Amino acid sequence: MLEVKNIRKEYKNVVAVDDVSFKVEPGKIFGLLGPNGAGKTTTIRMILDIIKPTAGEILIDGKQPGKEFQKYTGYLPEERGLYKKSKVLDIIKYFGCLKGMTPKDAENEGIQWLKRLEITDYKKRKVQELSKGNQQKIQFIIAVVHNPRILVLDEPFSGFDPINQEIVRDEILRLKEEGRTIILSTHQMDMAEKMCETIFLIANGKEVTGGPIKEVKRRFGKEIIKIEYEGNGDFIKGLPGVKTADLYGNFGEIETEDGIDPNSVLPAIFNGVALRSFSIEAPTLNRIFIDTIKQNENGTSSKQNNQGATR
Amino acid sequence: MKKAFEVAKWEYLQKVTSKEFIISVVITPVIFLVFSLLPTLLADKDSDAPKAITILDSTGLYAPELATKLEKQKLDNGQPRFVIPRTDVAPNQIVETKKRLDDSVVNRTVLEGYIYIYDKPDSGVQLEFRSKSIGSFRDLGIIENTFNNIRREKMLEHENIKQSLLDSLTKNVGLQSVKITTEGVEEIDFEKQFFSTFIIIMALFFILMFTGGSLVRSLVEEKSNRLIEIILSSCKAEDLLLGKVMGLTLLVLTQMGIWALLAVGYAGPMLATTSAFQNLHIVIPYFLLAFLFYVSIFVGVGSIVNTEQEAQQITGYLTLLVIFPVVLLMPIIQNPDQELVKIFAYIPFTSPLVMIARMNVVSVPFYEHLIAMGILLLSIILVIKLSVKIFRIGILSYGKIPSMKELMNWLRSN
Repeated sequence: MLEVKNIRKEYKNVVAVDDVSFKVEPGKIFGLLGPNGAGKTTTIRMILDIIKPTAGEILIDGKQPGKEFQKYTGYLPEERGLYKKSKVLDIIKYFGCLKGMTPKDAENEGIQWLKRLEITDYKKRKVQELSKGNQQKIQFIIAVVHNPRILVLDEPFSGFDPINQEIVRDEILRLKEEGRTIILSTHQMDMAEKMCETIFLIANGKEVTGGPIKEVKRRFGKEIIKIEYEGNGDFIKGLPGVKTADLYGNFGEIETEDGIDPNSVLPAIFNGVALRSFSIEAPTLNRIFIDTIKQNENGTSSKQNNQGATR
Repeated sequence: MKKAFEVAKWEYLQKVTSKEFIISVVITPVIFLVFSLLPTLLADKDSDAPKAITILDSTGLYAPELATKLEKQKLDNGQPRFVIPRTDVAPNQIVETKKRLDDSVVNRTVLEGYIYIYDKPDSGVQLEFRSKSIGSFRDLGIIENTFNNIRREKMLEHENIKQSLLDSLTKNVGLQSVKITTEGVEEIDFEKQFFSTFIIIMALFFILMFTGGSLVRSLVEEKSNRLIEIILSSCKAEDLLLGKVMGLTLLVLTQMGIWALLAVGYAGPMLATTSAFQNLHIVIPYFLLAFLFYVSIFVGVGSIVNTEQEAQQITGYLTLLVIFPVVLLMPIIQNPDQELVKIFAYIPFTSPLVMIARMNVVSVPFYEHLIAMGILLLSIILVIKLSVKIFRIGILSYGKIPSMKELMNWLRSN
């Protein structure tokens, strides 16, 4: 189990990460989410021991990780690149050896991975001769070749076509089944929603919300009525108990006011339009992300305004 | 430390098989040869056909003898150097003839030029070679020497001095400079000393240009494609820095090894006589220390740049630092024990080259080498420590180059 306890990173004028804590269990995928500049990369760098936290600690199975710690971590950074003029298998071997593998093991594992990702033909080629997608596969291999216990993947799907996305997704799920601890950082909310058991939403260096996805959704509360209809639905916006209604002509998303049961407004909608289908759904992670971050921003800015007023 | 060796191995193997390296190994000596040999080759190149000249002698004393002696001069290919048609000119026709000769020289007849001998009332006999171009140094030198010999002989003969005395009087005695060392004496050839030191400085300069440049470029590459983060999630910044320095040092040793083989193969006996090469056991440590010193600076400074352009600027300034001792070379060789020179001999930036230069002209006591090398070694350790601090932060910061103030903050941080 990876435990991040009250970590904080200060630079001269800025606090990049402020008192962040979370736990990641093995065999689970943990979603580290947040807008650009929220402090995700800094958090990741601290987990990977690239930089040291100003305060707080990172524990593995309750213990301070020792010198060998970096052996157990694998990292796929968001921005991709490799030594252009080097050969594929050479690079994989180099990074495997840097993680403490013997050249022989690194080569064998590397070849296994090239097979899994269906690019065995390229092992003697130079990186610059590979397509962008295949270069990204090599980077993925570099992150996993040494069998890391803790795997940090930053936007692992960006730049892959749908077929390769599926290949990489299956490999990530396989690693999860093997009991690895996986941290997934991404802006693709649908992907995070489908893959992660637990999420952690960070903004301005601080935790905004977090926990198992179901719990986060329950806490967010608001269920949404989705309808497909024919006819003029404008009246729905004026129905009592309806807070917002996004209407697209033959599709709509309706949010009720706090404390109003979505079921209670359905009969009125039935009467007004010809309904083709309807459903009451938990909010999407995307919705939660946008609403929570916006709320958080309004919160901080109104706080600042108040301070300004009292001064 | 094991990680540092991995990095060193990778850096070395990737670079040693790169086209850039192979080109630099081949090209550098070629540039060297062309730069040092071509001008002398061209200047020394003799013309391959005789020149038609004539002599206009208004004194009437020298023309026949000068013509005979000049016609005996041979070109490198065995042909006569000059062809001199004799013309008798009556004293009253001198001015006219001169005009006619000037004309025919300018209008490009076969006549290359002519020697004009005349008396000037205050300063005696004058010698001119009048031609369209200034003529080759060798031709002019031969004409001048031949004329002066004839004139001297004539004057001495006039004073009744014997030929044997004459010969011994006209023989030149050269001044030989001898350096006394604890091992004995050796002769000094100033030019040889100057150039052997110069070659070492230039070699260091070229090597640093190549390796320093490629080091900074590779850092910029790793930074811009974020490979640096994968590397730093696998090993410490210190290991990375140390590995890079070790890999490059090995690369340079390979390069020098190849050049040394080439040099010995081509010019072994010639090189062996210069004291810079006789002192190799001291020159090589200095060379390596200088290399380590500068490369450590390069790594620290290289980690703060973000683009190829910034990298080029910075390597440009740093290599200027390397070439600076060339300015000192003349004064050092002429006055190797001067106070100021001695100070430069202990400043790490200049110390290796100043010491190599001094060593070639005076015998430097061994303890001075020890002190200089000690200072250099300590400075290398210091520079590496500072570079690591800058490197650790610089390698992960993107955006603009940090200001001096920020750098100081980095140095103070842990």
